[in-house]
Amino acid sequence: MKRYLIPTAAVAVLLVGCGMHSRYNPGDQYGDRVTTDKKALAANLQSGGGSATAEEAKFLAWGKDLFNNTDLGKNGQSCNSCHPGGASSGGEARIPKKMGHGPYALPIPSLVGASSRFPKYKVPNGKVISLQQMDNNCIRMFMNGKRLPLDSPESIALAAYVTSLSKGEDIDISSGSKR
Amino acid sequence: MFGSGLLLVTFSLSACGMMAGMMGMGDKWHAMLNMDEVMDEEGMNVQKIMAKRTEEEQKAFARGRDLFNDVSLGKNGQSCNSCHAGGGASSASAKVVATGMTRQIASLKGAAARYPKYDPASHSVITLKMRDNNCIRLYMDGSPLALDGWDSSSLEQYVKSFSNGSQVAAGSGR
Repeated sequence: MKRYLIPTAAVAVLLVGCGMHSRYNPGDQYGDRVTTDKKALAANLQSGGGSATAEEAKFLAWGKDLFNNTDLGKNGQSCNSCHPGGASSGGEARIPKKMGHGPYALPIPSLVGASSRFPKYKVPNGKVISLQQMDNNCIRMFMNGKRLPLDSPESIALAAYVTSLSKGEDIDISSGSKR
Repeated sequence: MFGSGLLLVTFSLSACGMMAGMMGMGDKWHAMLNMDEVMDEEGMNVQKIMAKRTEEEQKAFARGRDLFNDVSLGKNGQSCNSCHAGGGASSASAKVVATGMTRQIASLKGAAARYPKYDPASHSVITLKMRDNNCIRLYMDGSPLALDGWDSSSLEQYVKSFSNGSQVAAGSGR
């Protein structure tokens, strides 16, 4: 059963991916998917969330595929290599000198509850960043890959999946006063 | 908190030292803090990292609050706070500038728990940062904030803080 599940999921994700690409306008640097056509905008708003569940399921499935995809990096690692199923592999991840820091060896954290605390301060960035930017930190520093543009459906899908690993966890945004 | 952090770092230091020694890497590898923070040999020690984190998170939170109340994000005299006073819903509805249609104003309390989520105006799944930009464009007639910018992250941090204590429910189809 499991043997057939993976190729089927891969084909489904590929189809879903193609579908989403056709709607995505890569020229839009702010990820603004709101149409400038007033009639179309009005129609979108009036249609409400009819396809919400299906669209979110697509993004989650795609994000899960990306999470397990070694093509995001160049060292044969996927997100799942360090965070199997969203947990910690228990080891340390090593990175070469990057972004003016390092080299580092980091104890690998579990991702359960991680999204609850983003945006937060991260040392390599020197400022508060969002979860999508942290995903990119991992891709760049631990997988030697290229960052995903924050407005790309890939980045959104990956963030959706990583966020879903924290489902049920309390949101805990720091205002800087408690830690 | 600090005590346990220090303990962790001390432990990590010795563990890293042993590992580095075994692998013949000398002091190339560095000790870590709190499972997800780093310490480098240029003197970023535990106290400095924690002080910097507090400072940066306070700074971003204050910036986010300023942006939330800033009418210059838009062009119609409205700020985020005009519709969502204190993170709630100030009135029943707001007008989409481009189309003139009115839409129900939702409270922001718990709203962040459902992102990334499907957004009707975008006809796609979007992040909270993008939703903030949608509000700026649709209801304030302003220009979206660059998603990789500090302003966008700061506004997201402030808006998401209204959902503190809410359970993450992304992907639940709401």
